[in-house]
Amino acid sequence: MVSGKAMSKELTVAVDEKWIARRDGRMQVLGSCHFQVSPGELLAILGESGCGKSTLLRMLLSLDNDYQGAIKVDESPISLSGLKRSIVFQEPRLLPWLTTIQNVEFAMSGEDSGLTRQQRATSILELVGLSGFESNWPRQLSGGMAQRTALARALVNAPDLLLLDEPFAALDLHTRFRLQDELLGILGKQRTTTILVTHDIDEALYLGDRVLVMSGRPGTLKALHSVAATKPRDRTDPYLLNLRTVLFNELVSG
Amino acid sequence: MTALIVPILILIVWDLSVRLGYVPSTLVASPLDTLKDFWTLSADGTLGQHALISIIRLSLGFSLGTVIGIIFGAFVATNKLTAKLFEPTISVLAPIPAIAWVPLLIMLCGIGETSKVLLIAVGTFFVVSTHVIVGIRATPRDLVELAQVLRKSAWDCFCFVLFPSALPEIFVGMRVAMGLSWTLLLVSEIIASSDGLGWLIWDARNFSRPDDLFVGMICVGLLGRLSDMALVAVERVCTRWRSTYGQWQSNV
Repeated sequence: MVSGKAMSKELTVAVDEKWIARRDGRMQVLGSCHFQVSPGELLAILGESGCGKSTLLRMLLSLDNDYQGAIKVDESPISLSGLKRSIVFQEPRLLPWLTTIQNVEFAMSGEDSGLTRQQRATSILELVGLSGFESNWPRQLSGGMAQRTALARALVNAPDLLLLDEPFAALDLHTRFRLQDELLGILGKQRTTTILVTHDIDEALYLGDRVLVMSGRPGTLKALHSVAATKPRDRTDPYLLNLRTVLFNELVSG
Repeated sequence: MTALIVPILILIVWDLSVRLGYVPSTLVASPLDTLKDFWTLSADGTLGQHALISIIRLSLGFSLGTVIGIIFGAFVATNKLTAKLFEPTISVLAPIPAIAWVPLLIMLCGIGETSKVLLIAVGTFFVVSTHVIVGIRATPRDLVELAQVLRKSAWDCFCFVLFPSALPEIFVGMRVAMGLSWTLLLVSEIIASSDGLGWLIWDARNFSRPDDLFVGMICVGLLGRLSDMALVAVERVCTRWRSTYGQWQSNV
């Protein structure tokens, strides 16, 4: 079994500005964005497309370090902190020439011996409900199964911080609901600190411990709500529906 | 069965042309004469010997060109400095038809085995390296980014992402290069040799042995087909993960 330990450290995001170069000059993607993520919580970031959510994730992964401000883990910059991070993208991004289990093993560092690697990969695939599909090629998997594999790949190293970039956006409704529930089950066991970026209000409400609303470009923090309902939640809970209206109004007012 | 229709038609037209005297039988051997000659040459070992020496030259040159082509292509496609350093030069050398290297190679290495193997290697190198570069550069950026996110080393990224992604394109290059290699082999054996299938064909012309000439040509055709089938077989094993439209055809 994968023993996830919750991140014991506080993540502080204090981004002031983020510009990107474009052919026709510079464009500001992010404005002032200050928030903290507590150990073990699931923070949902809600915003329209193009508001800089994915850019923020790239910065959290240290793939993009060119911004004004700081992202810190306790007191040290995140790029130096050695914080174990992993991500699930909107599309599965499996390597087509590796089987399901090889794709999961690809994410592991080279330290483990072959057998342990295989055992860990097998058990994580079992966790996401893919037992029996270990030696399938990605092209033989359905969209939901491919995304489960991507989730398994993200979880296999027991990350301190799990980043989810609209992971269920491309799936049909039923598959999305099922995967959301499974994600909650897995995170409930592992208490992994998670940041979920989404443009789906219901998803943010169903999964998030807190929901952060971002404005359109340049993205800035607009509102931050705690979702005071225990999980698993009822998707039709009046409390959630009320909060949904609030979030909806915040989102559409730009 | 279907595969035999066209060869049989060709045999009939060929046989009739010779039999009815449309082409002089001193210049064109009939299918039957060719078959007889094939038997004679096989039985006394002549054909096998010539074929073997040709296959060795081809294999050596092709392997050498492919290995160097892949290594070179990989460096150019993954390293900015290497690309800047070599790509402009290569892009001028590559369009030179490989046959134009023959005089230079003969002057440098003589008319022995070296110049023949090197000629095939040079031809193969330019084709394969070009396809390696194109193939690696066509790797989806998303997958390279994934390797970055997983903090993979440059070597791991090459082995697990760039190379497998380029593999179908590399096989295209190898198949084209294999065809070119047969051309270059025959050219070098015709220009300067005393053995090999190219020599057999050329010698047949010199001594007006049309039956030998046809045996040589058919033998090259069959071996060429065999070499391509071997490449396709290896390709199919290496790219099982793909699912492509052409798969139903490649069983022919």
